[in-house]
Amino acid sequence: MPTCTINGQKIDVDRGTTVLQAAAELGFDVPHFCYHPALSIPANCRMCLVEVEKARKLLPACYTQVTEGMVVHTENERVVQARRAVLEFILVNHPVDCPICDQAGECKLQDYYLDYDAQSSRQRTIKVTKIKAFPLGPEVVYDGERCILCTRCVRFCDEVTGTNELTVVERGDRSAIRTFPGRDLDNAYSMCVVDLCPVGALTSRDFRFKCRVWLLQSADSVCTGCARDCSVHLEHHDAEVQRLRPRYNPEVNEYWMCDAGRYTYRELHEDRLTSPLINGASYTWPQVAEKTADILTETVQGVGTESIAFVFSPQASCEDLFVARKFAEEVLGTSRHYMGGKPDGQGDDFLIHADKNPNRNGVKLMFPRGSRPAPFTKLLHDLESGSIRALYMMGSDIPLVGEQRQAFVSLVENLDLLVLQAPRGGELAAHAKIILPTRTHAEKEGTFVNCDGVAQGFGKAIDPKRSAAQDDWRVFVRLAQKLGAALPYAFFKDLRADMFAAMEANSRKTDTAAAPEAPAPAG
Amino acid sequence: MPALEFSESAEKQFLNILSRYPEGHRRAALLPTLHLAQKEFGYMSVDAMEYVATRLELPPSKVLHVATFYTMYNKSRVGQRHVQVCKSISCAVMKAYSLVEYLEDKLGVVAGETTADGKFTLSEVECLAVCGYAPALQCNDDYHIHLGQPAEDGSWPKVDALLQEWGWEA
Repeated sequence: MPTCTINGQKIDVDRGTTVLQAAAELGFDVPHFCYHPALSIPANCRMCLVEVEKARKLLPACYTQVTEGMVVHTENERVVQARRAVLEFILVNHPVDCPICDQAGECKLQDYYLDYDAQSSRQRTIKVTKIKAFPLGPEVVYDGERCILCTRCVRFCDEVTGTNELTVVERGDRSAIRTFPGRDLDNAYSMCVVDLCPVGALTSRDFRFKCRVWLLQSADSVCTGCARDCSVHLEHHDAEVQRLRPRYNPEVNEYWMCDAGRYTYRELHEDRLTSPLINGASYTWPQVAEKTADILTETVQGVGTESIAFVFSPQASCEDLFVARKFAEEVLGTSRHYMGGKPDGQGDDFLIHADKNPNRNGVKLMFPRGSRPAPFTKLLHDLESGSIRALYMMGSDIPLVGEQRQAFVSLVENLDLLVLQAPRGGELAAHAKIILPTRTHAEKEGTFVNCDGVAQGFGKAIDPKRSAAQDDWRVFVRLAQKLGAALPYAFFKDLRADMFAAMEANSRKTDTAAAPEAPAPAG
Repeated sequence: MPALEFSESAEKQFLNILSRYPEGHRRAALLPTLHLAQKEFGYMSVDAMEYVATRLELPPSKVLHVATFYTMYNKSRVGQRHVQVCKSISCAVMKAYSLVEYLEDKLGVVAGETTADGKFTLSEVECLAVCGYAPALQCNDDYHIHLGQPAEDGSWPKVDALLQEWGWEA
């Protein structure tokens, strides 16, 4: 356990800790470009040079390990001068085109320039010009002039994805990031290099020129692309989600997320149901609750509770599912539960999971073992046999493909009643007698439990735009009230507390490793 | 599979290069293998780099990285004789720039170009590390030093002799 002194403060650190990490622990931010905690350390940007007493030259803090009795200065005159000099070098051929740069506002070069350099260029020669928009692959565009050659992107492709697409070509002021001719930066995580890039050299084709970053508001959220539930910054402007960025979470996704996940924000605004409908006619929520209650009562009397099926969506939050189960069992009185959601897709051995639903484990945890929802294929079978006459669906996703999917859609047509409570319409909207629009995860608070049993809370980012969409649990509470079997929830926090209690009770009975572990309440 | 392949003798040399480095460190053989490939295939074409990558079991991007870093790997096809005139300081003082101009006139190309018959490529290069013997030029693997100074009429007798030796015809 070496002890060192940084800017006059003593700290004990583990052997192998770098000066940069030790300084960070004491709250001193050592500026750096090329260093990234998840990548190897080339110490090539020289921005993190600090003074170590008894060392003749300044040393890179990112690479220098703390030794016993080391005395470090990270903010004295000599160090600040060195930073200024490094920045002047980096800016020799930099175009300073911040006004048209997507990175402006979240650019480390811009920030450090204002912190340490803040002088006009002393250069009297013409800057080296390079290609401004070089497509490295389907998702990423490269600007050679802005690049500071920190090689974070190169190391990401070498060390994290192992795909080795990128490299530095040429040398000196002709250096640039390139792929091998004829090959693209085309892997499932390629857009991570855009986040890694400390300057505006790598930009996302999707986000380029879409929104200035200082207009964005950010909410801590969870990616719904698959069962991994990567933690994300959900960034929005004008009630529209503009992009998703990975949020550091050592238990789930570390610093990364996949390209497919980043595009999930698009469906938050696509094909949305905006108004409660009965037989195609639009109503207010009080009206629709009353009419729906009547229709449901009629159906129960007509076909009996056992002919009513309820589909739980693994796209919904735990809180919504908790109330949904109460609604199905205590209000509708049906025990025919099925698991909805999206069909399985491709997975890999890094982050992407084959299950394309964020909360399958959440659905399971809402039920005691042995009474969990039956698979969707069972529903198809039951529809074929005619034992189901009415269907209450949470979510419009159908976890079937090909002929089975077509068969399901045509069977739904013959039902006495289809209630569709979902944020999006999909192919079932045309067949639903009652449509109850709900909010997406971006528009509400909630909890998802991922494939490894990690529960994560997500916050509300935006309000539904020009839409009457409601939280699922509020819809259930409203309907229950009209059906005369009130559910006792008015506040989200009470509901959440009850949900976690139920979740814990349900997971306690587990004795095999196959069941997800009891998740800790999301902070 | 890349379209190129080492000839039998080049293959022998390649195996010899590999044998100089410990097992599992094929990357170490990259520089000599690139030189061999340049000799064999003429220049660092995309196919040549890809072939080297395959043979050394390296990602092609790493071969591109090294091949583009060093200027002595030619990125385009060169003539039978690659005349590289040093233009660093000692040679420049000894009128290397006039020498380049003279050769440009003689060969009818601009530095960096190849003659139409494909016999000569003229390049300007950085220091050839024979500053004591300026002006100097390198033709393929051979050094030609102490090239003297231009005569009154602007001609370079020693260079003319070299050109004649190389079979250059006006």
